[in-house]
Amino acid sequence: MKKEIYPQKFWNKSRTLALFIIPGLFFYLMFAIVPILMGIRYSFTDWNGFSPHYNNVYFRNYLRIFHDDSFLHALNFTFRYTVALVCFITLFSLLIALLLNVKVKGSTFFRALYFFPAVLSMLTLGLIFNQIYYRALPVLADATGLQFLKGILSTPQKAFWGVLFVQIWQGLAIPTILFLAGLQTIPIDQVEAAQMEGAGAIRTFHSIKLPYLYPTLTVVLVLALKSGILAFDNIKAMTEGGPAGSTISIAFIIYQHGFTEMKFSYSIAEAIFMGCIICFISAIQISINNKKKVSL
Amino acid sequence: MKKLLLTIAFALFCLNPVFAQGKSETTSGPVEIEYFNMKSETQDIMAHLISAFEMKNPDIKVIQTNTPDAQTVFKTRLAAHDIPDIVNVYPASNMYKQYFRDGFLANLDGESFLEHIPDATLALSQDDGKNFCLPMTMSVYGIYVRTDLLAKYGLKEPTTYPELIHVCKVLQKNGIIPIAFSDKATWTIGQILERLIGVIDNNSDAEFQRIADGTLSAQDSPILNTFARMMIELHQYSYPDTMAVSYEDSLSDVVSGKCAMVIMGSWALGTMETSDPTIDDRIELIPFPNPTDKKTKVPVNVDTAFAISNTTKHKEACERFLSFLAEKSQAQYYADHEKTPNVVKGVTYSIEPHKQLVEYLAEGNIFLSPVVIWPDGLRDQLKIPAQQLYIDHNVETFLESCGKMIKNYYNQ
Repeated sequence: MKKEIYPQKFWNKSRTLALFIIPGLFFYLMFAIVPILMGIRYSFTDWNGFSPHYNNVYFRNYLRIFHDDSFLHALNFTFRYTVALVCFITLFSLLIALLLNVKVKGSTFFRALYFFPAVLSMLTLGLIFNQIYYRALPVLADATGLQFLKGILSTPQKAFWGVLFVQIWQGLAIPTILFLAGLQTIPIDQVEAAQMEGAGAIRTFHSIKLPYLYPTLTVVLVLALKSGILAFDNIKAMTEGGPAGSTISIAFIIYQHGFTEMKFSYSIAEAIFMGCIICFISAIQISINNKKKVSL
Repeated sequence: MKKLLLTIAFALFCLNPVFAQGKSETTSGPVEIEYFNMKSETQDIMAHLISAFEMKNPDIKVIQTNTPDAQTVFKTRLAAHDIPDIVNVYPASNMYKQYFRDGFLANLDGESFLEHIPDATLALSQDDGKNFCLPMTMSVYGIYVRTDLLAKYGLKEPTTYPELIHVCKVLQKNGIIPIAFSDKATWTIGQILERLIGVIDNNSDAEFQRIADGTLSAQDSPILNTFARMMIELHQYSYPDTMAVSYEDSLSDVVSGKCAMVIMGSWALGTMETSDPTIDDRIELIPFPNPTDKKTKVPVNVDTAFAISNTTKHKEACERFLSFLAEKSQAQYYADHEKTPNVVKGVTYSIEPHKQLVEYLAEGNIFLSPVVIWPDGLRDQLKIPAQQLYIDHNVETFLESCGKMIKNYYNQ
């Protein structure tokens, strides 16, 4: 008599689950996986994005990346921009979350207020800040004597910070909420015990709260990394990559190569190259954070 | 079993949008054709013409599509084989010629409506001698000048480069910003660079080819050196911070009288008239004088042209629409409202501010804008060193960067 490994009930349940998952899986395959695989295929050709005819060029597009000064320049900008964005977003959102976690009158109002930037699109914010930088800040500069506020987007050095500021302002909202939620999960008795032992605020945060926040920190770092590497909307709205190409990001140059210069297959190769870099960095980041998180 | 059937029904319901048809096909009623408009500023003009066409042709309905970033949307529709029945194109551009060569646009050789267009203009809109569109207007490029401000300070419209500098000096001394450079708008930087390089030498492509193949260095390029020094000089007569000024702000400042001149194409008049409908009486488009001793010619480009999709199911309806647009009365309406010089035979062009440049057009003192001859993307890249030049006035860096880009794009 054959020994039944899995009971019939298991198969019934699995079949039901599978049937519920199939539609979602189908859409995910159709709109995410299949386009990626098609993109990889096109990256080995010289397709211009619309022609019915193209030729195989094998690895030429990928090799060209390493000799393309404009791509390497954009990579340099994106690297510096992402590092700055990740540092500022992580630090400030954590600080704001710690402040919002204090039980004071009106804390709910402040929590809603700090979430407000998340509902605005980056493109809308870019257009708004365009006008702020051009019209409002010069007036403020003349009134206060802070002349550095003038010409934020018209000098290469300042334009970097001008564009970054907008993305930081918009990007703080969701990480703040995530950290706030993470702070709610910290067992209060451990915090109280530490305080009774004489630990100060900084020691309590470092030794008790931070280990519990590592999973949230992982999520925030990955989100900030992704938004930094894919920075496009605010650059397009505010500087169009200027002045003098000083704010051209990888996403911007991929768009330019694909849609302006008819080098669609080359832009796909650039995108896949960046995708691999993002996967590599994320894997290292997750691995480091996983080692440090609290095991419950 | 009941649970299983319900689950399958739910799954099929979720998959329904994948199989649903995007368009419902009517079997009766007027034939519907889609006109895809790339020039959003002509939306209302085209709506009027479409309405007039439908009244004369009740068996045809024309749906006008306007969308932001229309050129990108059109490309994605081509890739999806969802080509609009009629589209307005820029036929001198390599990209649109490539669309024709790839079979997306119909060959219009022999169509009767092309007889309304002079042969010289048709030649600018062809690919390898084949017609694939109906050209309607040509854009011209020069300097919009506030004639009243010049008259106020006893100045005449400059016809030579030294006269232009003299005008700038006098205006600046009297508190008027002579030239409105909008260096924040990177597309204007690229366009001014391309058009003025063309003014300096109508055959810039030949010199760029020599730079690309190494027989001439960018540092020794007469065109690039002349352009760099000219632009540094002209920027002295503009805003203190041209990098902060947008295209719209520059036009607005010319209308308000804060600035006296702006280097721009004939399409800008419509935008200025939106701010001040009476500006026509006080503004004129003049040729940009050649800073060398060569003759001044005006850069032109085919600005509006209409093409038919090669896969349209209603070719006859599309041809009737184009025939209608090519009629003198329709073209006259288009010319009177869109303001760009019209190429249809018999149209009286009565836009006062553009009269001078239209004479250059009629006399043949024109050349095709270099952007249609240069490799795709070169103009967009050259704007980067140009912008850097306007910031730091470093001619050597500008020449070096231009040289690299020219070699890169010509040798691809």
